[in-house]
Amino acid sequence: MRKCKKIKDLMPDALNDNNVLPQAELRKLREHLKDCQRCSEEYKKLAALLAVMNKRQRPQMSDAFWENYSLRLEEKLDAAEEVKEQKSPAKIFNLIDWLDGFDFKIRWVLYPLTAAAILVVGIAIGLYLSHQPGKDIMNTAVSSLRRLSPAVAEHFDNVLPLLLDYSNSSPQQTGNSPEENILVEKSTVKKLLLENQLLKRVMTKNNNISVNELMNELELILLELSNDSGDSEETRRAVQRFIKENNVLFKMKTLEKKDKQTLAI
Amino acid sequence: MELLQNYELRLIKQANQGDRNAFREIVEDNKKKIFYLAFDFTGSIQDAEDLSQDVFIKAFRSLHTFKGEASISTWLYRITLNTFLALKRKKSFEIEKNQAPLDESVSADPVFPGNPSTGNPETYAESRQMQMHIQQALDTLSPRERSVFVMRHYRGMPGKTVGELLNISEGTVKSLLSRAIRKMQNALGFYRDSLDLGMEVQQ
Repeated sequence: MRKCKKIKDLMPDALNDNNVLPQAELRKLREHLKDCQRCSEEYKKLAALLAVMNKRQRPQMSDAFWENYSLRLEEKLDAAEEVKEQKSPAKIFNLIDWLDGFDFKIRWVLYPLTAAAILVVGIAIGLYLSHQPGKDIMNTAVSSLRRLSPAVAEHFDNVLPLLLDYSNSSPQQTGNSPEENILVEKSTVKKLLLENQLLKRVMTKNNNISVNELMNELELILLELSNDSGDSEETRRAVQRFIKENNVLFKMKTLEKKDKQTLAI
Repeated sequence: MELLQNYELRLIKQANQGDRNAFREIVEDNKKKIFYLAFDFTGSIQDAEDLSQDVFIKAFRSLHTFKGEASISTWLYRITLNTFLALKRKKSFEIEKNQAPLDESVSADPVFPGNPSTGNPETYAESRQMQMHIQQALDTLSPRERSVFVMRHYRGMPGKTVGELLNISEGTVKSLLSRAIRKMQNALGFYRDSLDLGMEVQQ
């Protein structure tokens, strides 16, 4: 079987019109074909295929074509030279074309190497910028990571269970009355409202836009709850909708998470 | 051989120093070889012209890289192969057979052997049909399989040279060639079964 494999490899060359197979190999093949029926069949099939493929015709181009060919090439060369002169300062943009000019195997090494080099340069620039004091871009990044004050964080911890109760409560599903679902005393709501208003004033001075926006929304919710006389179904739905539409819970959790990350840094 | 090498090295050196006539000489010596190789790769006159001229433009730009280790034609074959594979990879190169040429002078009504004006119209029709089937069989091959088949079978290049041009081992050349043959056998199976090719297999 191993011999058959070797013989099969020789077949295309044996059938090549350019006599590419050495005589010794050709003799070996012919000897094998006499004894091996399977290889002999294979050889006939291959010969038939290559006989068809050898009938391939190529266009015979006229003399005029060849004269014009050279003229067209001259024009393209001139154009390519002009483009090259114009493009030469921005060669980096032709990086892919340049890489494609390399051989198949080398390219598979060059592609990742180039990508890694670009990454390293990018990281180096990033590190350099991060150590530049007074840069606006870095101030903005630091500002977004600024810690919440411990008082605000504690306030959020107090408000969050209340909001969770409201957003998760569903009397239609449980059959309970709103009063049974939401067991928050009016005094607690008022206390939280006052706390929110005070902290909001402090945070306004800190110019932390996302926290201020959230505290405005919390104030609206707490006001609605404190003004409502009997925890009505209508209020519950309104508060639920407000929490959902303004992504209040998500904002609170995100800010708290960021706060913890900043603390860890 | 040495004379030829010296002649080629001198041409390259002069062309590299900006002598356009020296480069023209290189083009004139090789344009037919490169055009027909490009035609075997692409299957269309227009694409063969575009590809072969791209090859000469690339060669012109990289004259300084020619070290004389191989002949100019082998160097140009390598550029043709790499340019063809790169174009196929970019998928911006569509082989459109029977496509109307962009430049009228390119069409110039290429004469295929068996043209009806010079022979039997029936034979011509059969021949045209066979040409179409051969083209379809070649189109089933991947660019690398096609490159190997064209260079190995149509050009008779040794497996070692093909491997060097493609930067692959001789074993890979063999397996690409076997795969190409299997694909073409499937595509042209009906010829084997139904047509009498009048071919004697010599053993």
